[in-house]
Amino acid sequence: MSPGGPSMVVSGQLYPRPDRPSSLTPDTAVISPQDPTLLIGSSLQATCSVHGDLQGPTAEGLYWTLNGRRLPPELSRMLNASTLALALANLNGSRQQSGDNLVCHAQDGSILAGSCLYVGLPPEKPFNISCWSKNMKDLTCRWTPGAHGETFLHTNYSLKYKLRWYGQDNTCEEYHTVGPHSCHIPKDLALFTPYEIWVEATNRLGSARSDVLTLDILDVVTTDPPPDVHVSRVGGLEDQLSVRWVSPPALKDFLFQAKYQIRYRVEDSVDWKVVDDVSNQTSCRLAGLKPGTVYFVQVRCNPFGIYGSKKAGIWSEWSHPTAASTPRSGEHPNMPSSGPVRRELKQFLGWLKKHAYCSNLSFRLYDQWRAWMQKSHKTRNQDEGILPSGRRSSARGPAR
Amino acid sequence: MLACLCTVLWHLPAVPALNRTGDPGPGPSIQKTYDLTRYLEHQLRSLAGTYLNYLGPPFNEPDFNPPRLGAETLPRATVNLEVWRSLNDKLRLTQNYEAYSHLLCHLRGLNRQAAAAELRRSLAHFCTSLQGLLGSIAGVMAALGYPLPQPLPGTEPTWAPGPAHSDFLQKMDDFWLLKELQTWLWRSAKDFNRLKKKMQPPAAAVTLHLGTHGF
Repeated sequence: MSPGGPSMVVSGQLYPRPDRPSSLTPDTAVISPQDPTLLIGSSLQATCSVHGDLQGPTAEGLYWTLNGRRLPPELSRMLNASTLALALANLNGSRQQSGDNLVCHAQDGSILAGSCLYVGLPPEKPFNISCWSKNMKDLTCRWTPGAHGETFLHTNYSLKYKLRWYGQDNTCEEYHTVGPHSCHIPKDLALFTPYEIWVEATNRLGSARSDVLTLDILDVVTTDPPPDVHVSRVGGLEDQLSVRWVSPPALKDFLFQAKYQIRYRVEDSVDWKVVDDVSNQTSCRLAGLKPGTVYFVQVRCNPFGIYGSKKAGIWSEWSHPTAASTPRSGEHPNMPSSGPVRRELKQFLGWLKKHAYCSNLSFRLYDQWRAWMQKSHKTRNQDEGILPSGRRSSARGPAR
Repeated sequence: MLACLCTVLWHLPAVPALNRTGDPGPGPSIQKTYDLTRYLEHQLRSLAGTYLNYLGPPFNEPDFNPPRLGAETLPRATVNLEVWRSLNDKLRLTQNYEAYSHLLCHLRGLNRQAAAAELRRSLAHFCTSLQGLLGSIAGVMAALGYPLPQPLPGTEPTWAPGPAHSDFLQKMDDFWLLKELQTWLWRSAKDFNRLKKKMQPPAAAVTLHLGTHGF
């Protein structure tokens, strides 16, 4: 659009005057073919016919432009007094999806007629359809367009679905929900019968259909990440943190064995450590951690085997990272530090580091052992007349 | 050339006239309408840029000036300066209201299936804003006690199956629609600025009075 406001001064007209008189009426000239559709690489013969009387314009001096660029004169020739022909070969894909602008101009440059050229390729078969259902309430599907994607023409994608043994085809209506090639079916989904899902791609040059994907809603269920993830210290234990969460409320009424995964990393690292195989519980202890370090922890959920489905569901997103820090070494001087005990402790810790996973049994045992070690250490100190320091809070102090 | 069905616009719910006693007058709503025209002008600049790029060259070239064909039925912002100056308030407002009703109608009829989803969204958003401008103008008219223009029987715009319109001619129509919208928004800003000045209380007289007292 031309910059600057309209002139209100010259001749009292608000409207910017055209440079050239407008000579075009609907009958002035016509280009043939009008709005053709062509395959890339094909040729085009076009004509611009001027409807003139004897005083009117003739084909003399006419010229062509394509997308605003004047075409070389050797591509045109006059067929007769009122017709200018054009020969284009080996056409490239259209510059814009609204069509290439082929224009026939009079000698003075004014536009006599125009035609939109649609040059492209038919669509290729879409593939890689994947779908998931959030809490069994809806279905979102994604696909990849045919191998080259770029057809140069507007290509319409339509996601279709139907229940396997009930004949009616349905069309998805909410597109572009998670990217350009996606669709969301918000309601009226049936369970216990598989769906057949496919994508149809259509453009001016043809259409293509993906392979049919058959799926059961119950096999592709995902849910929200577990809410209320809390990470806290385990007393004074400097290499452990306790993670607690709540099972996703949206699925709480459905019988299923949830699976969880926890991942954690040190504050300034990008490497996550993953704890797998957390089945059907809402707490876990991380062990073998570095003392005095800030950790970020996330949890995600998989509604495994929902309603008797034999398959794993789809993992939820990770919960928002929760941070906590392990106690520093030496924060609790009651820790045993004498020779042989230390050796044994080191061995135990080493074993633990290697097998850091969530097994409540082994931790209970370990805690009992540590509590016993402290007690015996305290007794030893008292016998020797050394009183414990002011920081009397036991190893089982309030969790932070 | 498309003709347009827009009975919805002609039957906007009647905006009740403001209570005259102690109210600030139509001033604030005139200011609001002025502000809206500036906002729409800004919105249109970016929308038009994107849309013309979608139409492709030469439509997006500066100073492109194709023949105006079917655009004859669009309401023209162009007016002789003296005529514009001498418009009474009612006529000034009515012309604005009728113009945007028609323009909105044409905008809504733009069937651009091939445009990217984002462009279609911008168009829809602009239509909503334009509808807001119409409501604002209606508010000013009601505050000043002018009736909203009603379509005369027979002149009411209706759908007529237009002649088969080539894609290129349609592109030219789209171009002129955007151009006319731009011109109208420029003009409306001046229309409402003029109305604003007219509605301002004459403060000058009071100052003079105080001045003479001092002598």
